[in-house]
Amino acid sequence: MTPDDMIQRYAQAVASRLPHAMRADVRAELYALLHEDIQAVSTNGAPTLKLVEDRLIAFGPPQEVALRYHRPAPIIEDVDTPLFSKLALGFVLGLTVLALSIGLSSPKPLSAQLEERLKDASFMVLGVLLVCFWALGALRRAQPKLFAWKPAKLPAVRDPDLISRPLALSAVLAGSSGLLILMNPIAFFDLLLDGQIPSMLAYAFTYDHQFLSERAPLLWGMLTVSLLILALAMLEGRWRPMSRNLALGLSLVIALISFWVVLAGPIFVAATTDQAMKFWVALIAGITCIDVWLKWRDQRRAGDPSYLKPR
Amino acid sequence: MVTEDAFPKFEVDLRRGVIVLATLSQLGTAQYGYSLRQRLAQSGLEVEEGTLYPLLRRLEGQGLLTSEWRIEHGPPRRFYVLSDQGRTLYPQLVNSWRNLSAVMENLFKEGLPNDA
Repeated sequence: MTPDDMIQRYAQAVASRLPHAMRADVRAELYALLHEDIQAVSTNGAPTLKLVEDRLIAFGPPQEVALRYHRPAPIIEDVDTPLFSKLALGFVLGLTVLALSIGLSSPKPLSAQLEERLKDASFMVLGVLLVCFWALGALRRAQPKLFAWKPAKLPAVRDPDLISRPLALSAVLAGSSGLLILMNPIAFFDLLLDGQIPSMLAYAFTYDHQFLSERAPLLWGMLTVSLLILALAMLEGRWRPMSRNLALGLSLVIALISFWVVLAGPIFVAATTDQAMKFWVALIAGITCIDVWLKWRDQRRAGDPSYLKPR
Repeated sequence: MVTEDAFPKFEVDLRRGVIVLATLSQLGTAQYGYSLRQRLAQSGLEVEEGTLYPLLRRLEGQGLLTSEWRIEHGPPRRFYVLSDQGRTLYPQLVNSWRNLSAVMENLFKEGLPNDA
């Protein structure tokens, strides 16, 4: 390779990374400029290969130089990156929890098939997300007025420790009712159907004896305690560090107990109900684990924001 | 934390806007990349080729320069010169630079001792 070949190759390598419309022009200009520049620094008229190489290294890698000539629009804009990361992570975590729940609750061949489909779905979801964000960026560049920022549209500042009493009361009532139904589903259906519960329905919701004697008391006991903590926090009107940490720790414990409940043996006598229940218990436990991790992370990052709290 | 190589990084940021203004200042008459770099270097402003040549293209893309291929005493070269828009913008930028420079001088006088 001659020194001139090297300059030509370099100009070509830079130009090939640019839009078609400017390639030929930049290649010719860059070649002419580099040629002249190298001629000027070569002492005896004919530049050596080593000299050309040194000058080109100083000029920079072709991909970087091409970016200096033309910076293409990003696939995901900087302003959208945090939201994209959150959504992508949320989808991947959600699908992982779903796959785990299916794996724990379904028979092996079915769960393997479903997990395989979920794996495909996760790639598809990420692909769709990427296309959506690319389209969002393109629309923002094309129609900046559509995305004009207005202070009035900013979300209200929320005190994370403040508890909405009506919402908390609804949660406590719904949680208590759900727990009561969970403790005795047959009695609930009996009440609902005016004492005419079909035997098949009663069989479908009959708990496994071992579950009732070993695992149920612990799970239901912990759920009751967590409802009590929520009720106490509601009465106070805000979370305190102690009640928040207690609720967080208890959520994690309930999630771990839930996994143990699913893995240790049947919950219901009937296989179909058992499978469905295990799926939902595992799914809720997985989501709870993620929720605990996110809240714990937020709490750690927040440090001691005492200056933000109302006095 | 300030590391040993912090200076080059901050200096690059500082020089970025200056190079644009310096380039515009020399393009009242047509210049090609190499001759412009020589002129800037003779005035004390060394600009790397890898920075200057793409910059000329970008400024042309932004409408501040126009360019054409010419053959004058040697091989074909692309010559750049200020466009009408560039000629309008340049005095405004110089004015802004002078104001900034005066403000900065005052700040340096009032601020920490800064003899390097």
